[in-house]
Amino acid sequence: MTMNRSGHEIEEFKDLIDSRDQSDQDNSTLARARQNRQRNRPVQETRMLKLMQLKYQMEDYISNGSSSRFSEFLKMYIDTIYTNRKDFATDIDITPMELSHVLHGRREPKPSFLHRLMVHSENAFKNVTTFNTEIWARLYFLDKTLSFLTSSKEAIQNQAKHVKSKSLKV
Amino acid sequence: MYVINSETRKQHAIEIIPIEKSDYRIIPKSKFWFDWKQESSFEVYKLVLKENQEILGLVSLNRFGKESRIKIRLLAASKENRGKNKKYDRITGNLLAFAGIESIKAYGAMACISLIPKTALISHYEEKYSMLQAGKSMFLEGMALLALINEYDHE
Repeated sequence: MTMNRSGHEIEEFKDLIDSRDQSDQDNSTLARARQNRQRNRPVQETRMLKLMQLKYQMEDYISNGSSSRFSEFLKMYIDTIYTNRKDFATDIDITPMELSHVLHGRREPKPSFLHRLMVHSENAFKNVTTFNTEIWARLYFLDKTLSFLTSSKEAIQNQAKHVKSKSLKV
Repeated sequence: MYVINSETRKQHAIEIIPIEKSDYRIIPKSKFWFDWKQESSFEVYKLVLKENQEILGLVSLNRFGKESRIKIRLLAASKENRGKNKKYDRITGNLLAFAGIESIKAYGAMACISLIPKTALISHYEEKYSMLQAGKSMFLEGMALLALINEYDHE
């Protein structure tokens, strides 16, 4: 009877966690264990974890974004995988100059640039996590939308004199 | 993310979102094991069914920025979702994966989640979530953390 009750309680506790009490000694044991593991971490593992971080940051931005960040995410993506940005330019068959202009906002990316980026990231994320490559296009056009809305407030007011419209009433 | 109805085996979409002040009225200790009002100074999240916003589980998190670690302070599935006869499965796994996602977002390659288990459950956390033991704590980082997130978050 006692065994059954104990077994039942253990099953219940699999869905309950209480970690509120933790001593400094526990914290230092944990820190040491992690340091030992991180010392031997392969570079590829670090890259995969950084790609995972990038994916979630991009998704958050798509949901709540309020400022232009396409080129920022693109820089993070390239710098996670490559030590030299020129190598990325080579891999997607564009010139380093074109890449530099896109990264610094001096040139709009061509549709072919976005398409190649989507193909590239599909491969890069393949063994990391599920990744919807359309997010690059969403990011780019969200930035365009935000930029249009910010710059066009005055323009809308100027154009109002050319528009006739009636408010509908019930 | 989803939970599975233990009887029908049907998947039900869920979301994990910050708790609201008005929720404290509907999460009594009798159903969620702890007095969650006492956690209000920490980050508290609720796991809800998308179809009707029913709260199935709760978690409170404590961030240790210098250590790139998020500790799961408290976690509870609702009373009918604990034990062998639970209505929905995967609640605890989803909440742990959510803590992992928050840690990855904040700390990238250094991300880590930790908890203090009951002694009798150490092997359960090792087997089910691949957690490692360090003193009284158990923790998850690196590829094992990535695997946990991928198992619970397919979107």
